[in-house]
Amino acid sequence: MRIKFKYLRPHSLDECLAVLAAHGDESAILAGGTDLMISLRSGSRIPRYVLDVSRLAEIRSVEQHAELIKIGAILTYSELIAHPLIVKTFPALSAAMSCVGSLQIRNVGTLGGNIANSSPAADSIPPMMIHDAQVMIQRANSVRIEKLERLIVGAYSNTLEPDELITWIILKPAESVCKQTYRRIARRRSLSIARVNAAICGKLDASGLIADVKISVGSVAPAPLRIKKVEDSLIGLKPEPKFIQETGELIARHIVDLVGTRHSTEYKRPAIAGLVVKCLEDVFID
Amino acid sequence: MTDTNFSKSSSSIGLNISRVGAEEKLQGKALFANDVVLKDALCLKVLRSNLPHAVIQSIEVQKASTSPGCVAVFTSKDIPGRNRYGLINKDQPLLADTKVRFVGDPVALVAAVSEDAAHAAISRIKVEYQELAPIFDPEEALAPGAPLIHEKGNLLGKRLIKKGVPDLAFQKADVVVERKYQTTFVEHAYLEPDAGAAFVDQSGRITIYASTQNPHYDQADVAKLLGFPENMVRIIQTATGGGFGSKLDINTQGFLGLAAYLLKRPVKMTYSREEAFLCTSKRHPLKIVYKSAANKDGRLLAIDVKIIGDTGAYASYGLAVVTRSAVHATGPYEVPNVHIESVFAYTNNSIAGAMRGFGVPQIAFAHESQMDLLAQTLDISPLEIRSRNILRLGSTTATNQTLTASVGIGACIEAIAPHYEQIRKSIEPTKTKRLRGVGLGCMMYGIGNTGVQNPSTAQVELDSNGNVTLFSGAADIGQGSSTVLTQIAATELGMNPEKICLVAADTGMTTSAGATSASRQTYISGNAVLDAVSKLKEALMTEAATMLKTGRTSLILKNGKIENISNSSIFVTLEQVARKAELEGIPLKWQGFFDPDTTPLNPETGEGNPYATFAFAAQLAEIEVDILTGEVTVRKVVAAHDVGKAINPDSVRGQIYGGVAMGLGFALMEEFAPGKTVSLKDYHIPTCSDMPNVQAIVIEDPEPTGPYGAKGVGEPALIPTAPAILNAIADALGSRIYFLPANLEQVMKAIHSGASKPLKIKLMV
Ligand SMILES: Cc1cc2nc3c(=O)[nH]c(=O)nc-3n(C[C@H](O)[C@H](O)[C@H](O)COP(=O)(O)OP(=O)(O)OC[C@H]3O[C@@H](n4cnc5c(N)ncnc54)[C@H](O)[C@@H]3O)c2cc1C
Repeated sequence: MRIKFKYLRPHSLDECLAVLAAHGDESAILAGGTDLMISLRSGSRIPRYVLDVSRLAEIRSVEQHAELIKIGAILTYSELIAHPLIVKTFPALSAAMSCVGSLQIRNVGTLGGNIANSSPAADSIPPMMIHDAQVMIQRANSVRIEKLERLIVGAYSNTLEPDELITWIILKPAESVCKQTYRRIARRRSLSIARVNAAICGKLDASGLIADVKISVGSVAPAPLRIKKVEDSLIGLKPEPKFIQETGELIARHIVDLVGTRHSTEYKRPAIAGLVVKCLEDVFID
Repeated sequence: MTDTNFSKSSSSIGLNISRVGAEEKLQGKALFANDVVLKDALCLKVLRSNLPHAVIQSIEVQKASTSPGCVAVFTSKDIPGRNRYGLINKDQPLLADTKVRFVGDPVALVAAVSEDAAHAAISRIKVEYQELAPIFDPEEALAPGAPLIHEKGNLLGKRLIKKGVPDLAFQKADVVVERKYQTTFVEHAYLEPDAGAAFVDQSGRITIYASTQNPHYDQADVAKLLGFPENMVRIIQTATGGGFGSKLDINTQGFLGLAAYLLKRPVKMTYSREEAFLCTSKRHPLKIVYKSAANKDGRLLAIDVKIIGDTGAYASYGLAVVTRSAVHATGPYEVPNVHIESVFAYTNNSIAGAMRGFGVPQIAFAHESQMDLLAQTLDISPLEIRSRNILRLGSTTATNQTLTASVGIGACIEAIAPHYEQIRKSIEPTKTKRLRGVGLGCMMYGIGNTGVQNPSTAQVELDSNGNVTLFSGAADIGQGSSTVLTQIAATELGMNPEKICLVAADTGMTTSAGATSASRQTYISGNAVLDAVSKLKEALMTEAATMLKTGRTSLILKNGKIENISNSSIFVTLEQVARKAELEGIPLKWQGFFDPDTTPLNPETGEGNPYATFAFAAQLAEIEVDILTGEVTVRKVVAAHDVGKAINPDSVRGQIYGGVAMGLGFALMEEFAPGKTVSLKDYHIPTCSDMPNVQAIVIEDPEPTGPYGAKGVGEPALIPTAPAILNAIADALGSRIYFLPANLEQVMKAIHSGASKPLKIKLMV
């Protein structure tokens, strides 16, 4: 199916927000287009305007502000994967971004688009969640900063309003002693959506006990989850193989309890456990 | 190609000359069907059924016909000829008449001035259906009282093969293993979705450009649909981006022919990927119950195999799969006592037809799993048990055909054996969560159609300027027949292949070479070309002998000249010979023919010689299973293929690499769910990052009846891969998967079941 729309490319952030203020509810924001083009082609979205935000210079940078790092929402995966500060500070996120689609997809796809699309299997979201990600959202005369977990409310569902634009993603770097990891399971090695994905960040204290841990799992619930309840219960424990195994199973059980048993549970329960085990090993063993 | 290599031998057989058409493709100049531009061509679109089984009560086209830009709306009533087509059974309507039989069945055809106008018109057609109970399982389709999908009944066909006294052999056997296997629909996923264009010329003849692997069949069935003489329909194959069997059916050609014929205007039609997924044929899903008996030395004594196939709504090439899967059920092994029964039914699923291997990839999964199970039970190595049972010179197959030449399975197994042993040794018991395994897959494959005539023809012409033109109806769909046929002709004429002009797959210019299927073009059309060229050569040599006043045997044809063997300064050029022959009225265009020597299968016992020659192969796969996630990584495949003679070794290796990729997809990820799978977004084929290191080993056990000893490799390339991977997974896990694809879910189940747990299939037939 082919639809007709008007293509607009605002030259500044202000102009963009003005267009959104005037026509937000009949516009579709286009960043890399890797999700949007599909819905335009299938006819599931028929906007009057397609608003290309991919070249807005104001939000095409990575900035450090005291403790926090701000990432422009329209930077592409390829740009971020090549950015020394991102690679050094957020190895799990970098690994996740390297898994997205294929090189062609990474060359245009953006973090902002991944968040706004709010897929349960989005690769970038679990590794942002372990950095207590916040999202800066702007409209013509206001700014709000929302926690990523609050912004996404379900599968392909979030609290963004039609006149709002995601401008920045704000991440809190982990302490330098923390280790981070990202892993995913997919049906093939590239161009494939994660069946289960997980990001974990953590550190041990001087006596080898868990001093801090953050766990986020995706593709298992309507939205990627932080498993805070389990995180807290791990503090002060020793990450021995048997314990790691049990933790994997605990998290899998926790998630199944949360979302209920479905057709996919037979696979996903052991797979969640297995993937979490691998991530915990990455972080706490060797 | 390297001219030096060529001139030394004056033969291009065994040389890696570059592909005919490679340059055009690399430069983007090759014309694929969708690139054909016909001035003012109308766009064609089909309205397809959204119900799996229903009676059509009415089709309301008025609103569509008057919608802007719509030129015509056609329904079955507009079809002037026989509204039934099909490769073997003529059971498929071009446009549904009384009922629809699957989601995707064509109901109405729209011709419009643009794609948008066509879509708009389609959306204005109203069809009223009365829904019928659909059937999605072949056994349910065959159960008494099942709703009829076709008037003649739901049985597509049945094949029985009997040899020896299997019952007795099972009683006497030291070991009997019985298991059930199941495979799913698989989509061909060729690079180029189906497309074509057509126009009617002043003489009234319809010319159809099509992405096809079967131009002469297309011509016949399109002519029948139109009730129009065959010679008034011309099919020209455009550059074709793969087919793998699905472009044997007429996909766009019938619609193009109908609209061009009725409107006398140029038309064009291109399937979207979604449409190609929805309505073109798939690989047949099979359920197989396989029982094998052996003595304690691992010698096969008997097999009893029951195959149930689902051909979906229409037959397509289904009957060929009924038979071929049965004939190949032993695999490349000699089995003295055999009972094989293959039964296929119609259902309301997507159409299943030809797909690279015609049922052999499915049955090979079963026979190779059985070999490993026997080996395991008897504590014999998988390599050894195969070596003990393989077909040799003088062996008889399940159909009691005695093999008299070119039985290269032994050589294939020997070639991979050292690799197998080396990997085997390197696999140590491990406490890690990644388990390694190695597995074998062997196969045989009969070249050409099964027990039926399937001739090829060719012509070769020398013009008075000394130029040679080869005419062949063979459609090169990427596998390389054009190159191989040119090499054969060039070698026979002592010429550089680049000097030969090829006209291929145009029914207006060439005679039939049969379908590009069944791995038959090198062997069958190669022989037809050889026949034509030998006749031309004979005429030229005789003429030259007269011209040079010497004996025919003292002359040789080389580099465009016929010269004296012992004195190369005595010669005549081809041009001189051609001129002379022309004056004398000696024909310079010769016709070649070849039909492999086969006999039909006895309907009761399956006895017969269905193929003139067989290809053989053995592959090994080394894999790693992550037992925490169920992911399988294929590390390495070593593939030894007996092709008789590799006319173009790079082409053979290319087929093997591609076959392994396709086999890997079949093994681990490809699953087409009718009514659910929409496009490549939910259908996974391997990408290059899933590919293992592939080592291709070419074995040449010459076939005396083949051109320069050649057989075929197109389908064989894929067949052993999935069995080898599945055997490797079983080796790694110690538990076996009986279902393809062995996707994440299947592998995880096998990891947790811990032991070999047979699949439960209820068999009612
Ligand atoms: C072949 C293929 C493979 C893929 N593989 C993966 C994968 O492996 N992992 C994965 O996570 N995803 C994958 N995707 C999905 C997609 O690439 C990602 O979600 C990507 O991050 C989307 O970014 P984009 O810039 O292309 O978004 P767009 O398509 O431009 O936009 C997506 C949605 O977000 C809105 N939007 C975009 N930017 C903003 C903004 N700044 N503020 C507000 N709304 C905005 C758009 O209006 C639209 O609704 C794949 C897609 C394709 C086509």
